[in-house]
Amino acid sequence: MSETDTDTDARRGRRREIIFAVLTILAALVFAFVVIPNGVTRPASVKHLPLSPVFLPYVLTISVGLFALIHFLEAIFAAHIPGEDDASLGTHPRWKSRLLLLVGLLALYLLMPERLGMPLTAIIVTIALMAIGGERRPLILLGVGIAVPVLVYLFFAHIAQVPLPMGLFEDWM
Amino acid sequence: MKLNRRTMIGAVSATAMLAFGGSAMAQDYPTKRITLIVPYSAGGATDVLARQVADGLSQVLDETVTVENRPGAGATLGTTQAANARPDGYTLFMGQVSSHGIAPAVYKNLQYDPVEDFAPIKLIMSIPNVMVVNEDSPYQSAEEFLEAAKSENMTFGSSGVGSSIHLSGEMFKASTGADMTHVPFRGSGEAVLALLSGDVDVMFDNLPSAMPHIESGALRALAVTTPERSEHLEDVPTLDELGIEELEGFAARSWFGLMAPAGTDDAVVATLNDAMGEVLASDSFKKFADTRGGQIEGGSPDDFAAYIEGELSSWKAVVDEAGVTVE
Amino acid sequence: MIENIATGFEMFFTLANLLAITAGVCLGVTVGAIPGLTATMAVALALPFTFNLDPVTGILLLVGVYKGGVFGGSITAILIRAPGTPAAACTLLDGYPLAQQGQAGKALNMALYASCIADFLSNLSLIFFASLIAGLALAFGPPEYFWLICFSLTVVISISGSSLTKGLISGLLGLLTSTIGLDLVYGTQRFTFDNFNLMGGVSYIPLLIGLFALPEVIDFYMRKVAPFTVKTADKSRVSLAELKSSLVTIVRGSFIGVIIGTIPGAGATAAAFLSYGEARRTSKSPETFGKGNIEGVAASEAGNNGVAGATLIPLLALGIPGDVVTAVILGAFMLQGLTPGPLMFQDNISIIYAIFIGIMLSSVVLLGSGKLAIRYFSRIADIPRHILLPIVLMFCVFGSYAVQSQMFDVGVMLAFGVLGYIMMKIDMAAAPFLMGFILGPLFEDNLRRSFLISEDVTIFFRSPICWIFIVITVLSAYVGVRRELRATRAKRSALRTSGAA
Repeated sequence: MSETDTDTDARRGRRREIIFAVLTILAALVFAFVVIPNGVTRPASVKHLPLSPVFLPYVLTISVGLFALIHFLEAIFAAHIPGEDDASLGTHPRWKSRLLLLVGLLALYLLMPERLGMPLTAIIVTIALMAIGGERRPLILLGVGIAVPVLVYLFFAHIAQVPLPMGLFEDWM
Repeated sequence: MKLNRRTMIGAVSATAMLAFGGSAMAQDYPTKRITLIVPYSAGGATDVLARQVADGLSQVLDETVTVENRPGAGATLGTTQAANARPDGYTLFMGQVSSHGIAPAVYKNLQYDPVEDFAPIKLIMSIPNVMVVNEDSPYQSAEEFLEAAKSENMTFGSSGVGSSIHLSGEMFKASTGADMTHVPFRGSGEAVLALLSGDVDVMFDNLPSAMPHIESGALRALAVTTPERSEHLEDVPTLDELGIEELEGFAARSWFGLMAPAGTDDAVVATLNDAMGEVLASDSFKKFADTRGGQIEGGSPDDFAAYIEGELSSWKAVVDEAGVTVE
Repeated sequence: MIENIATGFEMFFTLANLLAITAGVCLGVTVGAIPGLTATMAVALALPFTFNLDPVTGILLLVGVYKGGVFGGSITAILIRAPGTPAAACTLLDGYPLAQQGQAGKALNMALYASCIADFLSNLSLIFFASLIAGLALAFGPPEYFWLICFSLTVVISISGSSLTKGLISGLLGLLTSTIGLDLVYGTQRFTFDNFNLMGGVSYIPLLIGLFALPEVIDFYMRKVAPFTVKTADKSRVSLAELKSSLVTIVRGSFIGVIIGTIPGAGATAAAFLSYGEARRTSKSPETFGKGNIEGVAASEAGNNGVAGATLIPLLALGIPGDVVTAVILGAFMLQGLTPGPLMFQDNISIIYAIFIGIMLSSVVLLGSGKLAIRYFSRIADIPRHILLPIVLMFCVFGSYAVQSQMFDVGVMLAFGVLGYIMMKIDMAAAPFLMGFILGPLFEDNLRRSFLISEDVTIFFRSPICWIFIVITVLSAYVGVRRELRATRAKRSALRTSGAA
């Protein structure tokens, strides 16, 4: 790496830290002025301050804000220490579309089990993820993608006695 | 909001099921695995009882009964889900004093109706609460304690806000006007420990968890909270019999009973009531109840329904008086 | 006494007992290794089987399941960064980097050795000092407990990773997350926004799985090349020299575990992190912790297994269950017509001896079945990542659901997975978050309970135990912060010299 690269890296890193600190301070402010007053029900009378349900949330939020401020000052005035992120691995060239795909598949796990049942959802997502990961052999895709979810389902349902949702297939089992 | 949507999906899919799945015939019930919903985590008192019941029912009905733990929000979460389950007899519910006695009085925005949403099957077991103090405590009787509590502040431990242990204490406080501060713990084990170490003054614990300490002498039982004395503690008076005007009629106990979602076929309920009766009569269940300091109950579904009505109104009165509510 | 021990031996040495303890440990290791299925669940599942067993056999089965479960959790923590039990979360800090470096075998074996040694020491404490240490449980009231938690929270400084401020923020966010749910004292809502699923608080197993396992899955798909493939036929083992040099750490961790285990409610997770923090603090090369230091694995496993025998101390000596698992074991005792507590030592001493012998043996059984489990489970590491990770994700989903049979928990897991991924990208350590989340309720409850018990602030200084913990909390915070600041300064000056050159 040449010296100019290190310089830009350091500047970029510092900017990233400053953005992080500013966002954290903003979040702490929103929390203190909007979320806590609306999210916590206060009892009518409280004997001691620490007994109040809002005591700890306020103390914590203020502390978060303070540490974020320290972080901000540190990022501005002190030399930046590069993170240990292994840059050589690099981001996938099409990471945006992959991210979208991944979010979609995760959403499937959240929304489908109660309709399609857990095993079928798991089969669909597992096969899709293996394919995205580069697996092309149909035997592996279908074999692993179907057998593993079914076996794990059977383990959970019959040995660990955790009935996973079956959705449409409820009457089959 | 999420819950309502989920309920709707549940209802829609349930109707769909009925349309092409066909409901199970009551005559040959049961034909497949039965699930017993427990609104507490694995390992708690309700769970242990439910597993005992599931074991017994499996043998009597010759079909597997599995326990499903759905804890959260002081038993109200699992209860809501049981209320919305398909009423086909294959989902049962382990009802108890919390879901069908205290919670309806304490929680303002409850998502189920304890009467309308459930078909009671059989009352299983009841457990008295017992007023206990540390062995080093200066109070030898409930009268002495009450005397002292009128002039100085006392602390009472409980397993958490809205538990029968908490509300028995509130009931005592409200009826006598004693000056008492509630100190909540998470689970009765922690609370008993605080009582043993002298950090709290008194506790209205469920008998099973206090029993070993009463036997070993570490805790002193001042009174039981039921109208009758407990067969496990025959020397200990009831609060009612003390002759203190304010405490007359004092009754607080924990109980457990088998229920199904409302709409379950009457024939199925009858089958389950009979089966549960067989379980209650078995030696292994008697032994279980005995070690837990519990009293085996029983009766018809109608008896149980009446019992629930009574519980609902008496806890409501306590809660209104004590002013304990959860938004 | 001798007579009782002899009767105890006689009661113990039956085929049924040996089978029960072996079966229990094996079941525990397997269930514990699966994310979402915890030792508690395994013990509750095994409970009905004990109804028809002899008392000693039944109890040993449960104890075996419990001990197996505590170790089992570390297997998947090391191999796929998905801790099977919360207490194993600390093990992954160094265990997973070791696996990434192709030394999964070494990490797993060290975890096993540390577990067995700690378990053994914990059992010894149970047998010889039970009545002595049981007094400790009674000496810990809310104020003492409060200071103990304060001390534990100072460990956050040690596990903050590259930036102290970010680590502290992470810990604070964890504490803040722990306040979600119904308020302990008033029963009012905090941050639940009328959602019933949140009233019991955020469930910690989905949070744990999401925070640690899911970011690895997401990261894999965002990278150009596979981050790493664990080298096949990993033959790395723990050398005798490594075991020797970790021995002090293991023994210290075991005793931290014993003390924490004796105090009801604190739990194995806190013990593991405290032991880890201590190991890092006394280490000559603290900067290697979190990057695959074998001592880190030893420390955390010693800490959490040290708890396993010790939680039986308050149970047997006082009849007080320290956690849910011991509550189930208490139930099993009572079903057998036995009541743990001082009376049991008078009336049923031979049963107690028989159980003690079985418990001692369980450490040995754990070594054997652990070796076996490592052999089979470590094959997971040979599976290509693009096939393994979709399966890991499936386990995460199934496991999160299994905890309370709620789809909501799957959502919790996914949400914290995304948070964990963001934290990974901005170099914010996730371990302090977990630490804060787990200790948060204990911190707040005991603070507030102290105020309920006494009107007076002096209650916080009421006993020597309070003062001891106040002193070590202040010391630990001071030393920890000073050390981190020095390390940062050293890095800066190194950077400056390299920049100048």
